[in-house]
Amino acid sequence: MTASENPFKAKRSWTQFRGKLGVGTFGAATYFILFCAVLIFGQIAYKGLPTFFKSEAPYVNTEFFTSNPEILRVWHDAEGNKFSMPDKDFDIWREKNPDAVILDPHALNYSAGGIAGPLVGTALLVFFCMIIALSIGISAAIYLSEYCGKGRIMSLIRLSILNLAGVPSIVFALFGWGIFCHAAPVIVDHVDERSLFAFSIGSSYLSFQGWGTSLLAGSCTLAIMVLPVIITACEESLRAVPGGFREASFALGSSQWQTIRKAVLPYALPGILTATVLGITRVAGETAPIMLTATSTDKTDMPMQALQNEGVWAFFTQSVQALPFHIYTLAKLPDDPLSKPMQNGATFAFLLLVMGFAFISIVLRNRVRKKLKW
Amino acid sequence: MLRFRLLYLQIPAVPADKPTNKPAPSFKGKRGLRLMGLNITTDGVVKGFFGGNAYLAILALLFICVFLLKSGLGFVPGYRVELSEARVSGIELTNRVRYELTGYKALLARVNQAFIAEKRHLFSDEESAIYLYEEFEALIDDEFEEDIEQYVDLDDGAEKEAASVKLRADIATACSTISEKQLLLSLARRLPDLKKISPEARQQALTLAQEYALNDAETPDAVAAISTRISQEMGTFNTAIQRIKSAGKPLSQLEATLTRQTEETDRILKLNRQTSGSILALEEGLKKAHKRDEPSETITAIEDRLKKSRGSFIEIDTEALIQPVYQAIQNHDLIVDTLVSELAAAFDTLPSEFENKQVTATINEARQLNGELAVIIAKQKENINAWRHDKDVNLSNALTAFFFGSEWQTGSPWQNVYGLMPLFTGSLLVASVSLLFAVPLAIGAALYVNQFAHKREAALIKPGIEFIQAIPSVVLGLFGVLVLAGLLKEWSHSPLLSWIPGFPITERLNVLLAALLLAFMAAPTIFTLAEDALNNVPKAFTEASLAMGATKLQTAIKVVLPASISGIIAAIMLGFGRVVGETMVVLMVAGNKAKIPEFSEGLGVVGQPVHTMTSIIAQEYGEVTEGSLHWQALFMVGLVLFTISLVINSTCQRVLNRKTR
Repeated sequence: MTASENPFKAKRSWTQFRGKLGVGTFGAATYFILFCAVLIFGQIAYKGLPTFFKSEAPYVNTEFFTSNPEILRVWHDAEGNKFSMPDKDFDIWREKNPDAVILDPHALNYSAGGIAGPLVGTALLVFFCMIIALSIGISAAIYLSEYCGKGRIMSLIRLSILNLAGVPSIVFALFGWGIFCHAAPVIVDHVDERSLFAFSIGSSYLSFQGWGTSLLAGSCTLAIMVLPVIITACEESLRAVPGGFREASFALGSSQWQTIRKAVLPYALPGILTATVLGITRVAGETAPIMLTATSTDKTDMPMQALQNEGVWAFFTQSVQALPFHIYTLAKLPDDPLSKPMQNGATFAFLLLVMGFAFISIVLRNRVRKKLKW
Repeated sequence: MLRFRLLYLQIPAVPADKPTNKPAPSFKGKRGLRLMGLNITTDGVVKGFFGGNAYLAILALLFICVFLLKSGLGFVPGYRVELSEARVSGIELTNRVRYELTGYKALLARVNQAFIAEKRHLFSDEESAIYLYEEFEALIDDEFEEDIEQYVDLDDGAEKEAASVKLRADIATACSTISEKQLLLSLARRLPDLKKISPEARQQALTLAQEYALNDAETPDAVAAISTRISQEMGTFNTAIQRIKSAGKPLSQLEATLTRQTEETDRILKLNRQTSGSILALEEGLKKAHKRDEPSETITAIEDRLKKSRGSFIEIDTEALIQPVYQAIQNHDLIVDTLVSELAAAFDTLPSEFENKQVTATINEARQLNGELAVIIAKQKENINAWRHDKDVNLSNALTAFFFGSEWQTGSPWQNVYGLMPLFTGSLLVASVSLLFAVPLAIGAALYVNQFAHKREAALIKPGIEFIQAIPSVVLGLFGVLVLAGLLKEWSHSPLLSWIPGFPITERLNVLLAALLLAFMAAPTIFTLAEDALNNVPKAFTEASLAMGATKLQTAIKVVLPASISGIIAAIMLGFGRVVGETMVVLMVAGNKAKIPEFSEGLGVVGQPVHTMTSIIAQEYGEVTEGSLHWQALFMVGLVLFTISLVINSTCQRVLNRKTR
């Protein structure tokens, strides 16, 4: 042994090598998951982005966001050139060129136009769902956290609500389909054959025949699905407000409602907001519930038309288009390169929408975590 | 409890101290609006409002359970009625014979396939010549009709000789103008493995076609001669296949007889059930009408309809109708015994090796099917002999038929069968394969982030992985259908990966594809919960271990992991729950084939398509009528899913709860 050698120098051992190898493997697993995510996201973005833009000014494909899905007409002329045109343009073109040769004409469903209808439908579904879920959910959370005690029954109720948060969405869908589409009460002039039972009130009947496949049924189903999440999240943020705030408020002689309004709710609001965004993320991404309760493939007009033409009730009981269901329909189209832009564009738009909400909810949550420390 | 709630629902964790909910005694006098002896204060109203909403929410959630239970459980008695009708009418018996017949048909199909493949292998030239000849014949019919007529009208002699030479030459020119590619395309339907048309075959076909033309458009004998020669040369194989074919005839005849006998009875029974239902409803209505003193026209109308319904009730004697069935089935034993011995004899005459490996493989498969058929027949023989039409079907029979039934078949004109097993095994298979991928990745990632990663690195990775959780399942499904399905199939055919069980995959949509996508969805859930479980391990454990000189890896694997094992298991179970409940991905990429996957293929089972409990609901909800048995069956499936998820969730909560206390 020479004197220059450092006796405390770490020895290269098998154990250390193994340690490094193990850490490397775990790190690889982590980055593999993230890599897959980036790959999928990148693939969808790469394929979908071209649909968002076009080559001439204003460069953004506004038509994609402002028009409804349409049929694409495809044909050849005598020289073998391939033509494709949306259905409505085709009629105009045909009038202008009555002598044009049209060979092998065929139509591709949903392959032209845009995603305005589905986009509006999804927005409506999410909006009404959140109105129902928030008004019931926040009140229930306030009651559970502020008014009722911590008895056995209450903890049992909390536990059941929590349990329901993990129930698959298809079960909620099935329930909503059975109740809201087929058994909910409705006032009609003529009782349908499938009505469960009916009372007569004045000249019309209150019939339990359901709302059919409709905006209302879809919103209610989604609301019930997201209710456990909202209740639990809101209650959590209410409980996080320190008890001292309440005690101080009571000490000043305010009533319980005053306390809740002035001393509890303002501080729980960021948490409730996070819960709301979280709920929206969940609801907007769901397909199965709206597939069973709210959407139909033969709906082509915008939902607003029913409001103008037939009134409010017709507006709520019409079926709507929705983006996730639209994507599901697009996925079943026959494999044709001309259908691809719509498939990819709609998917990317939907992904962006949901990821946007997810991003907001993660950012909000991190801010709440950092800021609210009493 | 709290931590579970925070993590599972991704809710911000805020350090909370316990709030006291009791209001301090207020010194302000409580004076509100006095109404009917009640003192209504703002506070009371607000409390009532919140409480009302809370109970509304709870009631709504409770209602789900009740509704599912009610809709689902109505299925059992309904299914019992259907099953007992099937028994009384003899359909159940016919189904048993059908099982045997299906087994036999599968075997026959294999043997036929082998026969055709062998024939093509040995006589590809002759076969293609015949098919080519048919192509040419069509061409001649199109273009040479007049020439042929002219030729036939000619008198014998030199002129006719010259005309025949000219016609021959014309036909040869016309036939040679068709390119080989075109011919291959039109032959592809009948000879799919034909890659090239040999010149000899083409020449032979041309000669035959010319003969056809000169023979006044009549098929020459040579064509038939070739067919006969082929079947003669196929010799033993031909005899064997004829023997196998004729062996099955009595069984199919028996099945046809039984079907004829039972179908009618079943139809009448079903009609009668409907009629008696409407009679009951009408009687009820009549009673109500009398009670309410409705006008006499209404009552007469109801009575008329009642009379009509009673008139349409068909009195049948099931005892008498079942007798022919018993008579027909008497021969069953003899028929199947002969079938088994005949098949065995026929297979004995076949050689064990063929020149073509494909044929050998197919014949071996057929032999295996023959063995299976013998087992099926032995079992069904027992079943059939023990069968009595008047044995009662009770509720537990119906329940067993649902939970352990191996067939889910709806929308068939014959009899709908609702057996959960194919769906249940499908769900289980997809979920377990996906966990096989997700668990190592997610637990590895959780260990890395919790034990080894730098703080800043972890702060980037964690939200990144949580982000994945938000990807909508329909997007992943679409990605699977459009991109991954093709890639996976392509990869599975590469020789580098042929060692993986189940490769190469023949089905585009299969278990593996669904499992890969679901693993991607389950990994974030498992990661988040497992990371939290690791986080809960007291720091002292880690520090003690490091102080003893253990490396970081040793500490992580031998100290931290065992200490948090119950939390990690709970995380895996919740991941499993999420995967089992997932609908869109499996609906889009799992293949939707309601059949119990063949586990006999070992790990290769992952290449098969399956149906799952979630996807059957999403697929069939559109085709059911309200309140029908099929509708109730779907609710029953929903109920099973509901129960599974509740059991998993509550178990996990208990585990996580205990750990954090």
